[in-house]
Amino acid sequence: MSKSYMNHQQNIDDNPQLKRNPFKAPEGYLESLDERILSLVGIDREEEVREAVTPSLGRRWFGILKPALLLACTFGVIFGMGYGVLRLTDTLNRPSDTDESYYAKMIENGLIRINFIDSVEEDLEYDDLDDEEPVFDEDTVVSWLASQYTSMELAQLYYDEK
Amino acid sequence: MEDSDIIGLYKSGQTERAFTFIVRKYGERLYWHIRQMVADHNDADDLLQETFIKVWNALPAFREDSKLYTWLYRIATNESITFLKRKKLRATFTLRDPGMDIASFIESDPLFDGDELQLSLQKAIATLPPKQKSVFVMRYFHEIKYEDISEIMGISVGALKASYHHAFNKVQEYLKKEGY
Repeated sequence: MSKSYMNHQQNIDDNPQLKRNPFKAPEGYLESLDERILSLVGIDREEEVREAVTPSLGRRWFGILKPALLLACTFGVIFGMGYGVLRLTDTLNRPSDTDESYYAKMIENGLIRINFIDSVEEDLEYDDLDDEEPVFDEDTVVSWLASQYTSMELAQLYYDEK
Repeated sequence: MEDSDIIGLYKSGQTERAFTFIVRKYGERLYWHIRQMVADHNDADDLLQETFIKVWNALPAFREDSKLYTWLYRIATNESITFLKRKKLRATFTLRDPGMDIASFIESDPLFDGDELQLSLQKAIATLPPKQKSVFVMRYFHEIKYEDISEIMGISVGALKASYHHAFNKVQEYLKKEGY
């Protein structure tokens, strides 16, 4: 269109040629436009698409409960692992410190010492059933202790006794 | 198919069919709307895809407070305006004139099929700010009613008329300077 043509026009509104779309689309672009856009949102995968727009009731509930379920599962796994470790190391079968019957039986069988004095007395080897209670002088006890225990062991025994 | 029928399809649970009809009915129109805003085919194609992804995701929230076609145009227009604003910002940082960028692109674009006057018109439109440009494109090329443009852009009819008048005069002035 020549410049003189436009000079005769009052304004751009009066020129229908100007309102014509001057752009072209690449060949085949518009023909495949629908298909490309539809595939872009995965319209061919019907079920997924439908659920993406309107999730089913079950899906919605699952979405709400999902964090709580995950948390519960995590606790379950941790508990299971902890229980497994305890079972493997047999910790559960051991009595607790307050299990009196167990300790009573152990004491009865002479497998553990009740206290420092007991341990000393036992190691001095006397028969409390038949013999009269022996009398030890202080020097004998001290020298015996020095020969049997290190100072650290004595300190530990003293601490346990307290 | 009427827009109300498409919405009816969607409400009845036929979401894919409804969306397919939307794409078939409005895909090309929205492409040309975006293309006239951004000029470059590749940019227009990207923005059109973004537009339809947004349409697909926002379709469940469509409340029929507005017409389907004004809602679609609103999404496409917003995408284009945001794109042009970013482009303008980038050009500002690199000390370039975004209007000149578009103008020189159109001149060398093998997909531009206009004559010299149309090229000058496109160069003039490229100088308009993004919102004014969208008002001008919708009114001048697509002859959309002011009431609908108002719905698309969320601007009062009075403000739109003033904006169009302003854009129109700028374009006219530009062409005069070019000797037309």
